[in-house]
Amino acid sequence: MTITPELPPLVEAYLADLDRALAGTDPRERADTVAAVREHAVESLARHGRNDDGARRVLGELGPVEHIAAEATPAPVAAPAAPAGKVEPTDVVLAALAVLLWPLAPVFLVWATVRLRAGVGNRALQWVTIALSAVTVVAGVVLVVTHLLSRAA
Amino acid sequence: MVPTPDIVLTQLRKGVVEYCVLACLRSGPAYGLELADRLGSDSSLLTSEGTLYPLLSRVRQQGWVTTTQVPSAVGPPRRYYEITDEGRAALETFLATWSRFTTDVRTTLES
Repeated sequence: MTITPELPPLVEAYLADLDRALAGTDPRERADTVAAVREHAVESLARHGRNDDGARRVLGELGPVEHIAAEATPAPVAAPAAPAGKVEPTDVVLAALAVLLWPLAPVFLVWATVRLRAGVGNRALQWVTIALSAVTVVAGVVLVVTHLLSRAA
Repeated sequence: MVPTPDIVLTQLRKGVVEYCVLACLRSGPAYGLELADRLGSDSSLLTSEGTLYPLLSRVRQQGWVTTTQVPSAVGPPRRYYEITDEGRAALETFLATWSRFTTDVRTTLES
């Protein structure tokens, strides 16, 4: 079992300040740095004495927490989600026509796919159009095949 | 604006000090305070001893050093840093490049 010796309050306060100063830096680097500086302080206190004078000297050698934080790597910024896109009348009309004019579903399927790939208009509406058109096209194909099979029988 | 010596040093340290750390580990593994001693407490390589640790974390994540916990007589186990083969190769590349770079800088500055 590892026994971590109690550190002078001055040093504990410094480590807490350091942890706060490292907010916004790479989380792994932050944890590594605080743990390693704690170890450094323990070793250095054994060398200089665990009294207030020793603690001040150790902290003086470690330097201001701001200097340490300035050396740390900033935390990676999460990639922004792809924007939904502006709702354009074409997208609304396409989605409505995919239902109302179902015999023309293949046309709407291709049209919505082209707009989606080009990155224009509203992505959500384009996906709705693609889904509705695809269902209609598949249902149409199934009906035609079923009809042909029944005639052949 | 005329830069202060501190600003110039900060710029010069970037991309250099990690290789000095690797060079200090060539002679054998070392724990944090020992490594700070090897780098020199009065040297211009570190702003202060504490600034060594974010750098050590980075070179460890790059695979240039590994760490091992070794029991210590004065407190919790010591984290020993040891240079890896990849770290040695990185240092060799840096040394070859650094030699040419410093020669060019000196030649230009003294011309």
